[in-house]
Amino acid sequence: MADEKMTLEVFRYNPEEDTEPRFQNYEVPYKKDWVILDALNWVKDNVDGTLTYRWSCRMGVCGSCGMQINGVPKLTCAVFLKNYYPNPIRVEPLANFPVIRDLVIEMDGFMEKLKSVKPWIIDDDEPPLSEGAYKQTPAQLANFKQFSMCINCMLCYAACPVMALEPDFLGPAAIALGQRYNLDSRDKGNKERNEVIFSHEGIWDCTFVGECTEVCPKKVDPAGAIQQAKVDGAIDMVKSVLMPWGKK
Amino acid sequence: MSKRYHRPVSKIWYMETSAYRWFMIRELTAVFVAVYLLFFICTLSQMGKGYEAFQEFLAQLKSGPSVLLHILALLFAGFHSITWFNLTPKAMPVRMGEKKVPDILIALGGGYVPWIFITLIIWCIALR
Repeated sequence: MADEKMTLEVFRYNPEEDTEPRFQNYEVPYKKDWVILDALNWVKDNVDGTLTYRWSCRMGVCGSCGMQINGVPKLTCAVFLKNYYPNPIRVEPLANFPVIRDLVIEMDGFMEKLKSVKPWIIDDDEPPLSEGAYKQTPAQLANFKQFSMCINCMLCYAACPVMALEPDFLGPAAIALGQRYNLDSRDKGNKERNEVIFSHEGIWDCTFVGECTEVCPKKVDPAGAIQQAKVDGAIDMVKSVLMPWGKK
Repeated sequence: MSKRYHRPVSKIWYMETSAYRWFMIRELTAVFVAVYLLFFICTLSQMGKGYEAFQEFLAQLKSGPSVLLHILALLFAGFHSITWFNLTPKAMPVRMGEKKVPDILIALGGGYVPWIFITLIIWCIALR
């Protein structure tokens, strides 16, 4: 029991030396209470200090340790070795993102998309502090709370086949977060946010595969957010045809 | 900035996971639904040619390949409808205050119940 081992097949890519990635196998101790991130940390500390990957909180909150585990996007801090024992575990960087080095992906594109939906409360007529706090009923909060649980881990982008085929697609998390603010009773930014969300690269690129929701570690249901935005977008489109004199 | 590695996208990406395969099946069943609707339009145009011509057309439909195609179209249309009914709660969630109406009720109310109801009405008219 004490000497039981498992194999990690880890994606390696060094931009200074490699033209193609390769896989490197590491034998790691098998411990029932270890998550995959523990095994990667063990490799880095004891076997190969050059292995590069992101991690931070180790408790499913920071969203930085997402990787492909046997082809499925997962937070490596939240998936145990025992789920795979005794079979080898293939660890790869999140799919649908360029790879910087080993398991580290480039997230600049994602950050730009996220910024484009203005994920913050927009209210040009914000009342002064002296008028007191914004009041929101539990029902109004329940309207968007689920979508506010997103930790930007990007697992949904890795699970989405549209993302692979249409890299300009705004993507599940950005749309879910846009919806989160659109549905917030304190927000008045729908119009400027929807210019991006209702565009072709926004909701209409989504074909509703639904895998974004399946892999989401926070049960955000981005697929639901996108379909609900499609309903809003369709109503908006019909309104603009039937009432072209309405506000543009 | 050092170079990035862009992983190639497989031409048969839809075969990679069972979820992708089910998605493709759901999408492809739409083709059968569309073809069947075209066939239905042809049926209407046959009807316009008079009673005799229509009876002849109906007799042709009783051939083996035709029955087989109808069964296939029915299965695919059923699969297509059921998968979309089950997805309705995602696109149209209903809230009662803080509580979400259970998905199954939305699927039933928005899809299955009207489906069965309309089918029964058509059945009654057809068997009259």
